[in-house]
Amino acid sequence: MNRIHSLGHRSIWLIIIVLSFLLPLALQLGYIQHIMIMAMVYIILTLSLNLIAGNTGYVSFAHPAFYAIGAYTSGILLKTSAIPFLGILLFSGILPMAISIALGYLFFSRVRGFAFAMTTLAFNAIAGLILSSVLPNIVKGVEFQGVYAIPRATISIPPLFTFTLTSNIHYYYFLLCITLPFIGLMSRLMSTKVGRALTAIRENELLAEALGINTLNNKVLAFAIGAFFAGIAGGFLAPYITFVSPDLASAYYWVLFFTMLFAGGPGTLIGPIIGATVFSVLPELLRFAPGVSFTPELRQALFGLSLLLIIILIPDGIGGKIKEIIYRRRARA
Amino acid sequence: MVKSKRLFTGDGLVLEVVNLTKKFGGITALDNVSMNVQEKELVALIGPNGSGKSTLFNCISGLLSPSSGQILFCGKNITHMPVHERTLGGLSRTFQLVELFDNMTSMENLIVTAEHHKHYGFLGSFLRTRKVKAIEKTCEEEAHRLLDFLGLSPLANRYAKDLSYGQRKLLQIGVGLVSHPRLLLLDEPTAAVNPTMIKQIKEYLLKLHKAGLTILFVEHEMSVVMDLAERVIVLSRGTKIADGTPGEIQKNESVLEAYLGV
Repeated sequence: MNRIHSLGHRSIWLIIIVLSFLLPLALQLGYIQHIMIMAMVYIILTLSLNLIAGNTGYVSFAHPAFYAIGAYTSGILLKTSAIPFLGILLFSGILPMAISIALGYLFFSRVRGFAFAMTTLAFNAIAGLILSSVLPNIVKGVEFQGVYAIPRATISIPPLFTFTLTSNIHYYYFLLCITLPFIGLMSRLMSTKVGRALTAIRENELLAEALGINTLNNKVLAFAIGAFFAGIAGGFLAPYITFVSPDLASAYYWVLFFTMLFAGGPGTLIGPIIGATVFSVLPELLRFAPGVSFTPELRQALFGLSLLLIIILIPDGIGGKIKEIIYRRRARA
Repeated sequence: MVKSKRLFTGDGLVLEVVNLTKKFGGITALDNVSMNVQEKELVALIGPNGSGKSTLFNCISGLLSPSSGQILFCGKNITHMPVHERTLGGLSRTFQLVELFDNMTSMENLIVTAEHHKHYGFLGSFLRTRKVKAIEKTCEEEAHRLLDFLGLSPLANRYAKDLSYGQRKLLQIGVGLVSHPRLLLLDEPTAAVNPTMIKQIKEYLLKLHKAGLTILFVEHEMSVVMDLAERVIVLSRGTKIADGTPGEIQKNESVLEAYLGV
């Protein structure tokens, strides 16, 4: 069966995996490790957004909300409960997933295409508002500016070991243990019946339905898996940064996610990984540009400009180009 | 052996449309139309532009919901059944303007359809159990066989958007067939296709008919209708005005009137 999207080049993947294990040991600077950690967070976010926006063709602006909900869940529970971190992390994914399933059935059964994007935009705005204005009034430990002083994560498998993640290197390897299986999972998912159904929906939803594909369930599934992993990314962020703010659900983040997704190539596997990495590293390099004070506003403006240029110049992204080259070669054979 | 999803197992009458009416606002597109298709029959649905053929087709396949009346498929009432369930039950259709998954290869177009007519869940497909592997292999073989049958094998790895119009028409028939339908609905299978391809499509349809497939098709090209159809149903202004063999239809006065306005 054709698996063009998975780019079947095992050797390239092997090199990436080995490098990702060795690189932080070679680059012992905490700052560089931090960039690599954030790159992985964004890889998870972009790839999970890709599932609904790239593979299924439904642009969703709700991803920052799911990310923020996951981060808040994890931050609050770490502060106030004695639940083991792995349990908290799982719950940070399950809560946004449950919300996305409810929203998914509500939205998808009524609207298609553009209207869906608008409903998610509205939801994202409401979620941000709830986090910043409602939650502080009803949950202890949540300030209007966010959740502060979140304790570090402690991983424990009771009889065997207990280990508190303190340094960047700890968080790096912990996240690597999530990111790599996650990428494998996404690759696998796209070569299943569900993965092909999602592509079919993107290509021609009416036809997909006419051919016997349950489009509603498949769309909700893609939306829910995406929300789950956005929540996991947020759940990881809370003890790593030790602070979460309602800004996580702001427009800044969907501009960022879409820049990463479109630069990389929606609907491909390698694309969002490249996009997330490039746009995690690039702004950090700009920090060293002389005479520029690198404010968040400037950062957002640059992301917005990049998104604009990418959509005009390379609409299929880097991954799309790679996919096309592979296709041309295969079609000739 | 892998069983496919099949909801209905009736015999004799495959399709029965009873007193079907469809109104769009003040316009009555279908007015009390009744018709049927017997098992293994090859039936043509004709009529001048705007006579309601496409509306009837869309009601049968579920893209439109009729205002009143009933549609029975193999004895089961499917009037308000969702589109995908009808398809899983054995009702398959093609579209007048070719509809395919453009950025998927010919092969993938067939496989994605085939595998949704097999019984297995998300988890099984994710874990790729032995059973699922066997099913996927079957789907792949079926897809290959169909590409062979339609002479599209050399284009198996081409995106659907890179095929010629005629090849797309053929692939669409393949997509309609890969689910092993009990009834195949073809919406103008030869429209906008060159004469050589028309001849080819005619041959394929005859072969399928001989193999026992039940087919209902909308067609404008009279030579195709007269050569292929065992029975012809004629619609005009939303009502059925004739139903008979091609010979009878050619002599029918109301049909001549509807077409020629005499």
